[in-house]
Amino acid sequence: MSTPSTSHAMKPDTLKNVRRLSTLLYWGCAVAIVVQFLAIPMVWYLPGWVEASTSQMTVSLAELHALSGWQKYATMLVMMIPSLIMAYGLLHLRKMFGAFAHNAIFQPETIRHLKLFGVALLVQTLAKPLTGAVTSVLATFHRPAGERMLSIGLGNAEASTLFLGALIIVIAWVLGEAARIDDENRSFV
Amino acid sequence: MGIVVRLDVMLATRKMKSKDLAARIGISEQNLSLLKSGKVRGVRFETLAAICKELDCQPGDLLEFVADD
Repeated sequence: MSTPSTSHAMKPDTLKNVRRLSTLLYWGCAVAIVVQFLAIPMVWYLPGWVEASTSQMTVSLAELHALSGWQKYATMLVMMIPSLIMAYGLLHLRKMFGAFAHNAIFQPETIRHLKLFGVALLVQTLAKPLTGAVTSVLATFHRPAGERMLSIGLGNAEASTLFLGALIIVIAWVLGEAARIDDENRSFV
Repeated sequence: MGIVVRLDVMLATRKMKSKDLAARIGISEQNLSLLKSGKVRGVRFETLAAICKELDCQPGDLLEFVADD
């Protein structure tokens, strides 16, 4: 009965700006996804690049580089889990910006992408301390008893990201209601 | 059955085309067609008033309640 929701009710200038910025962010997300996949391998293979990014790691860079065999790959894999979760979230964010760029603003599917990004952000933030703890165990596993370590790191950054994730989910719910109202409004003549 | 839209009958009575009515009341032909076939969830008072004005009729001439059984 109702036609697919576009943004016919939006001001032309606003719509133009949304489309332009969304196109930019669509490609920005693509770059961010690639970075998520490359960040952890770069810790090993481009040591100079990562000095600034190791502050949140639960084990030192030297300890990571000292790893070999299964420990190296297991640690790398565990360290990649938060990045993979974020890549999943960014993929949905990219789909959302892609839909915005094609005028599909108030559609349930578009809003679902935003909600999934919020969920991914929450899960990634909660997974980070856990994977950090597992990383510390894996990295110090070869040491003699008494020198092995279980390190858990939590900070203000995590709290802020959790807040941001929850905020995005709430906004997605509100947008979902807006989409439903828009759909209902369009079914009135 | 519920509410049945009798707009097509009124249009025939007034010898007016849907296209002309749509243009006069400022809604799309597609929306007027949906209204004629009863495939809308509701009609705004504003639209109803505009149709009544153009067709010189009352809302009761356009809408009829038909019981299910």
